[in-house]
Amino acid sequence: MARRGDSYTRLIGWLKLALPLMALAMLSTIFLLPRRSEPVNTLPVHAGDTPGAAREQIVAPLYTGTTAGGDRLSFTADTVEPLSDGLQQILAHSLVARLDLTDGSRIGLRAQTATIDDANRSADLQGAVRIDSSTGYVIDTERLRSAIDRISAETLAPVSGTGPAGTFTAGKLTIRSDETTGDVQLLFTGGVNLIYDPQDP
Amino acid sequence: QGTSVAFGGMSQDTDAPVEVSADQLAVNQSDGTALYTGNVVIGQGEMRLAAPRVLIFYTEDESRIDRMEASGGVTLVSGEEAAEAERAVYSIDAGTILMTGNVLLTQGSSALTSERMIVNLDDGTAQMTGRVRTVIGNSSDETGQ
Repeated sequence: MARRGDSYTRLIGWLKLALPLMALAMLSTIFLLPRRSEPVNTLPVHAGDTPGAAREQIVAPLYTGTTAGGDRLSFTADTVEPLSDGLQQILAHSLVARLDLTDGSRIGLRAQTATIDDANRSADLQGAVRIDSSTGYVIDTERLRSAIDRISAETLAPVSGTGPAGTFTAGKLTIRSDETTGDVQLLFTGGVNLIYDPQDP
Repeated sequence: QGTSVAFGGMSQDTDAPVEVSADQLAVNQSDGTALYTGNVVIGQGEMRLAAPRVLIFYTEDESRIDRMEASGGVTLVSGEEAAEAERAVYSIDAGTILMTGNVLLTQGSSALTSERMIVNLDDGTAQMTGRVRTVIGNSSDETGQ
């Protein structure tokens, strides 16, 4: 009966040695086990291009330039945002432009929106476009295309307005500078009708 | 010596609105002159003044039209009468039209020619001066309008 007791004691002796070693081994490898929540991949990363989020806007920009003839052009807007990549085409909201001409006179332009294309140096003004000139003319139209590096603009819609005296309508207005004299001219074409009331001019 | 003739029959309200229609209007930005060109017709009441070119002159304070200078062959029609000349100056507030250069006034079958004619729109009269000649044509179509 002693032999069975003897192997039992040997078994317990080995177990007393093996069991703690196993425990140590398990404890030391515990850091290898994957933890349930991986903190790295649950960051709130914004994916995809939701509108409005990624557009940057420039607020109240001011652009000034001088034409070859020496006339000064400046325009400002409430907000300006790039249309295409880079600044080739920008869309300006409630644009106010001003032409200070070398002969001392002035032309003001105003529009709800204006697409300014730097490539072909032009601006396309739309929506309640108003042209007021220091010669006393206030002209309204729906759409006007203007160069931004020289004095040249034309309306793409009929115009109506008031002059120093009388109110008038016309098919089209072209603003250009005369090559020889350099004088800037407001040219109304396409049939002009003026009504002048001597009693209240 | 001048000849007074009736022109336009009845007097006309020279405070009535004046209408100008033309193919084109060019406004010079530096001095503000306004030049109407192409089938320009100035109208007030019964009066119609047609010309290829009309230049507008404003008063000093630029709030009223002082006068309109028509050139390049002018035709003035008012009521039954018609008059032609090379140039005409229409002063709105004064209510007068001064026609100069080969003035030809036709009234029914007769016609008068002279160098100058001042038409007074207020009382419907005209005053012709400068080599006034009367041509009494028997067939009215020859000189009439």
